[in-house]
Amino acid sequence: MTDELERLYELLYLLPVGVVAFDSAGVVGAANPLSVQLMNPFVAPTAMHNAFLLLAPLMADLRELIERHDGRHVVVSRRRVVLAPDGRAPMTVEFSVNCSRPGQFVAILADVTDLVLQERELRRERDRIRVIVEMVREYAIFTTDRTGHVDSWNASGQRLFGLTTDQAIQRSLDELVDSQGEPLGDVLEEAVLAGWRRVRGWSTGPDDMAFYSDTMISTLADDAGRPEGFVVIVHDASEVRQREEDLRREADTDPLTALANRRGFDARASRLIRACEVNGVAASVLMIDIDHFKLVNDTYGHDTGDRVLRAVSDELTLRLRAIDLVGRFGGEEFAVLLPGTTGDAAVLAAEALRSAVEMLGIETLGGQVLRVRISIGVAQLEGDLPRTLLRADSALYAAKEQGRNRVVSA
Amino acid sequence: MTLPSWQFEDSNLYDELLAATDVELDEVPFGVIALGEDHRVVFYNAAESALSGLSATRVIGSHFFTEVAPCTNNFMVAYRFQTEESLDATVDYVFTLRMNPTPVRLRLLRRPGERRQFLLVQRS
Repeated sequence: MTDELERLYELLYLLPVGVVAFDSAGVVGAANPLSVQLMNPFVAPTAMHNAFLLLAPLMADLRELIERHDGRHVVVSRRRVVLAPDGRAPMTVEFSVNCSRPGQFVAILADVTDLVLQERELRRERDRIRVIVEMVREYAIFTTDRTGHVDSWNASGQRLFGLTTDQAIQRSLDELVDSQGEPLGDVLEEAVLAGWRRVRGWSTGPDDMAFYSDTMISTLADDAGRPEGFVVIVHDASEVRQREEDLRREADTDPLTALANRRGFDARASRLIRACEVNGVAASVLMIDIDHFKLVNDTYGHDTGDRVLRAVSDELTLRLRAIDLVGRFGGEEFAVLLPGTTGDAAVLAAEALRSAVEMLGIETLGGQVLRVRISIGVAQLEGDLPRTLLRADSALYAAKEQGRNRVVSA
Repeated sequence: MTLPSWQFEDSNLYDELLAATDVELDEVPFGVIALGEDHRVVFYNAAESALSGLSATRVIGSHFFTEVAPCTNNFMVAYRFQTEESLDATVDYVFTLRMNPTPVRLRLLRRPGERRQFLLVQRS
């Protein structure tokens, strides 16, 4: 026995697939052990030399197929058959027959039971994920190719964006989510480098309704680890954003008068001042105090005091322009920022406020009509806001010193 | 030296095989495969070598059920060696020897504490 032949036998004995060579009459010329082992529980030992009998459990009409064979190389292609040996778990065998040369055939048998179970598990997993993806509300989950063009779409995307699959496929991601001016290419590069990237901004939903989108872009890698696309999860965060805005507004607002409180005034004033600087225009501030407010409180009670504060704040708001900012700094003190207004113009505006409040009749809880007056310090913005507010405050102090109910400019 | 005249069916065959020398075992007309406790091949006689086309030197030391004859790694053969402490059973089986499916009778011999277990192969 040659060493070569021995090696061939050894290979055949260890081959993890079954191989059976036979001729057009079904006579088995060669077979390896696994082919026989696979078929052994289903056929009689005497059938082992006839391929048509040996393989009958996999294909009952193999003989007819071979008789009709027209010379093509592939006779049976990866046919899967479930075999159930007595008292044991069903087994799935994948079965192919090729014609190796005229009149000669090779059958290949593989036990793919584990593979089938894995495939079934994967399919179930995919179905479960599909159901989740399609059922989630307020989320769209889809994928894009490496350049950010949509390559898979589903019901979740249709619901959030109002786009059918045909409308969405090949659409660029930057048409769907807002990266706040950042080029899509940069966003995707960062997603590749870090594995993910989050962007937030405005998107357009069904019927052209805008919604605030919070988007997670995760990189998908191919088997070699190279980025081949992205999974995109878009969340309609409009409600979250609305809640955040409501909270911020609450935190920035004086509950009694609905004016900005000190915090809200500072935040909005800094934006307005920056706009004035950009446009090269002046801005001025007023510090306003209600004269003898303590006396009102002491005489008529705090409820009437609150009415006075609300009446004065309403009057200030009514008399000022929409772009002007009014805040209540606590107690009976108010501050006003007048964008685009010089100190001289601000004095005129302050005088108009003073006289409007003076004319105001405020009804007390007891039915009396009260009149209050205000003192105002004016300062044109120079340097930063806190220093300007201090100068206006000094002017207000001077107005009080000079007898109240008057306007004094810093 | 007289040639052994043991028959495949002999009831005291296990004891005779244990007592025999390797030279004597090579004279036996049916296949004799001796396995150690770990199921590695410790002896492979000439008859079995002729049936399978594998020389003893290639096979000895290998794990029989996974490295030599995976077609026996099943409930009918390997499982019985793994689970039955005392074993003397004859089963009809099909071996694929030299690429030909060959009906054979297998005799499975095992006893607790013995240095060798035997798998005997006879063409039916």
